[in-house]
Amino acid sequence: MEVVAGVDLKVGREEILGLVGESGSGKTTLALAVLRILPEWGTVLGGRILFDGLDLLRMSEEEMRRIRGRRISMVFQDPYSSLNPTSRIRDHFLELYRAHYGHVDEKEVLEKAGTLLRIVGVPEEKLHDYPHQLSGGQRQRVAIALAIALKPELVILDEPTSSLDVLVEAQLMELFKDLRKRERISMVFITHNLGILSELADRIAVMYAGKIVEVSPTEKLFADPLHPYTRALIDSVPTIGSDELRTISGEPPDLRNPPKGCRFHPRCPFAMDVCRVAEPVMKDVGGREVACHLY
Amino acid sequence: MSTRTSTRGSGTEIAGSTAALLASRLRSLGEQRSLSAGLLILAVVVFLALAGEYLTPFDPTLSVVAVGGKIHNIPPLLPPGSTVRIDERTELLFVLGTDHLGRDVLSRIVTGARFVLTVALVATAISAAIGVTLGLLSGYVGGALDRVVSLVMDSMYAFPGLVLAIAVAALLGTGILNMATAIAVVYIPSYYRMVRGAVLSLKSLPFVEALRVMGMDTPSILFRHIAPNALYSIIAVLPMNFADAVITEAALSFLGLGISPPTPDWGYDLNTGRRYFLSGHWWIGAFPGMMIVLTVLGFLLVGEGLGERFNPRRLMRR
Repeated sequence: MEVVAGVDLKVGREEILGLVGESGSGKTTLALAVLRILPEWGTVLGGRILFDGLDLLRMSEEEMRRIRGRRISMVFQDPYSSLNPTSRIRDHFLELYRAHYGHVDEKEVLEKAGTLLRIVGVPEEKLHDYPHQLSGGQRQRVAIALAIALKPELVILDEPTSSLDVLVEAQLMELFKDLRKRERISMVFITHNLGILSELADRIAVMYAGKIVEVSPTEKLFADPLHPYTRALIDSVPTIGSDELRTISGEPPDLRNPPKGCRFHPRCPFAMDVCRVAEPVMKDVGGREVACHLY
Repeated sequence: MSTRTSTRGSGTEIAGSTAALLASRLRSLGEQRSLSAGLLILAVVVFLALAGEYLTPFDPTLSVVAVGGKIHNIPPLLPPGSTVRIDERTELLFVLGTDHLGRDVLSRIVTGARFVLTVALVATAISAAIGVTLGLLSGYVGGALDRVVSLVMDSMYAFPGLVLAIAVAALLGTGILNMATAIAVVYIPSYYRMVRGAVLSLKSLPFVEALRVMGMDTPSILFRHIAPNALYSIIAVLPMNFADAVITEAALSFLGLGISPPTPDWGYDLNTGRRYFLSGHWWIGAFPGMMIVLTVLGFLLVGEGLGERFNPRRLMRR
């Protein structure tokens, strides 16, 4: 079955791209495909993934390994299981440096790791603790420190705050803003929560059922969403003062048997005849991109 | 365990939490006890195995004793606690009696520890080393390798352990290494299965994915990160398999596939003693048998204590 299809996305240098979509819309799959760590049953059938002029799909496994962690890194959703429970935090750092630089000076690495922990806001002495001795927020901060340790050009954040409480989420969002200024890295921020992207992302790509339906600069997307799905997403964010909670009617399609034509048409209030037959292509609408027959 | 009180019905609440606190204390004390009792038993047995003949009152392989430069025969089948008067000054005490050839039973069980422990240790080491390595590889690599190895292991597992050990022992012959190998073969599949299962569940955890994203190569991930997590399950099983190996060694010796006489060995002595039970000379077989039971008990207690201690779920909590 085709999970993600016909995706064309660019991330500029030092840009934060938000990638938003419902659960199961293929956001994570897309990220894993970029890093070429799809599970055994998944393969990239075609296309190109260009990174700094290199086609990642054509690289050998060893070349790819050198890129992971050093030039492109990733932070996962669940901080409770994304650190090895039997290794101390310091060993995570040591292993990362060893994986990329071979033999390393332990003292030097630990010093760097201490600095990194300070940057992400974890007490330095936690370096000698095991993951279970840290809180969920601290663990996620450690994961972020690991992701930025080797000064990568691109960090993919896969719902890094979804499993944490709102207070920690707010702190982490501040951290990301801070990191972007300080470390000058490009980020892809994957989330199902459109709201948290409003302050962070430069551009937002909206994904529905494995397809990108709209890519817009953040302000324009919130002010004037083009695609009916984006509109519905923004409307479904509850606001104070309104009694009504708006939802998108219907269910996300079964990817094993996606709807013909536009994949959103069964749930779209503006669906026309053409939507049921022809798949919309990406169109440029005033510097923004949208895949919808309305435009 | 918290000592927080609730606003309603605080009396029963406190009583309840005190009881829970007490229960958890008792439980941890219980674990502590089984571990320390097991370790104590094992310490004694290991001490016997190491010190051996330096502790024994008599030579365990001889039915004679030298007193004052003269050789005296020891009478056979003396019941426990018997004394033999050699001359006016010396009277020999046989605490656990003598066997059918007039050898001191106490001396034999003290020196009998060495052989059985060595065999069990070597057997456990061999089977754990092979089983764990195969389990790690086959669980992580998967595919055809996993299928072939699993098939072989399952067919080995399907054999009754002792029968398999007897077959291998008969093929290899006697001797410490051969016996250890024969016993090891029996236990390889259990390590293999356990480690493979652990690896299968571990390799789909996010931290393995995270390690790959960090740019770690497969051998490092497997041996440095997955292996330590998978070995938790082994720690508790090691002593139990060790205990099993002691029994299997005793069984092989019992069947005559073990050590050649007159070297003292619990299993062999138990077998010899069996023939004298009905005639009332119970001590020849009973004491070596009790040593086997005691050693196995020691290992099982340690296994249980360790199992509780290193239970990953308990470690993860807190």
